Amino acid sequence: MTVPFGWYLFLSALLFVIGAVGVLRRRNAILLFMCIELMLNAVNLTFVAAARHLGQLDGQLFVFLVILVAAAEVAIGLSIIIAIYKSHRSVDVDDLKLLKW
Amino acid sequence: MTWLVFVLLTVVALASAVMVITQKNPVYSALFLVLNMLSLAGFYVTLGAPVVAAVQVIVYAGAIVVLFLFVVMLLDLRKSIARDRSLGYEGLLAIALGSLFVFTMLLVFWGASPPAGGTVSAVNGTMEQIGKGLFQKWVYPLEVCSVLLLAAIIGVVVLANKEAGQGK
Repeated sequence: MTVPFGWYLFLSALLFVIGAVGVLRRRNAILLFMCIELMLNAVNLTFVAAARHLGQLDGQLFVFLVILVAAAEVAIGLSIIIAIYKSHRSVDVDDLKLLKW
Repeated sequence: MTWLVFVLLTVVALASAVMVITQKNPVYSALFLVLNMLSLAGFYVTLGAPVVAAVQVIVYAGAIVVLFLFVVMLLDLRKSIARDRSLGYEGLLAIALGSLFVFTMLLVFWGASPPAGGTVSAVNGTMEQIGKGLFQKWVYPLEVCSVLLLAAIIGVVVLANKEAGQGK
């Protein structure tokens, strides 16, 4: 007796929403990245569950590409955060008004 | 048995995700993120994707979270921790809209039926199957991703070297 596909979709929707609430709630830029990782993980769970549901391997392969892009994104994002910290002495997104006037 | 594993992993995944967004200290958030990723790796094993589970543990729990911890420990975050405010109106709005989203997912996908065409073949994501898929059917997206990784490496080096370059 396997767990139906709907439960996995429900779980990954919950995880995605927790990540989205975290992005809106936290003010620390590093925490924002962690919440984005939570959301990406929720999507990965959907891919793998759909691969089993449809009986095709493509979902699992796409998860590899998502993980790869997530790794690149984290590396670039964290180095940008460090560069911002060097110039502003803060990673609080309320302090960063570079693009506002 | 499968239900027991599913429920246990679900409890761990949801609890650790909530802890990630509620902890004041970013180090604790990163450690709960590791727990969340390990529970998702457990889901992948039960879904017939052992290779994806291994990559999840190695890349996410191993590499990405270590990167997070390095940056958290490099920066002085005391001011930011003290100022992180509690749930404001954005947070309440996010929870309300998120509940709506979850409810919609529930309605749309609750009766997700197997695809037309009768029986579904069992997916077995062995290393051989994954390798064949990645390097035959999906080889062009994989190559594009390798270029993306190269660009990310160069970008990180340029960003990290910025101050030294300006000093010349």
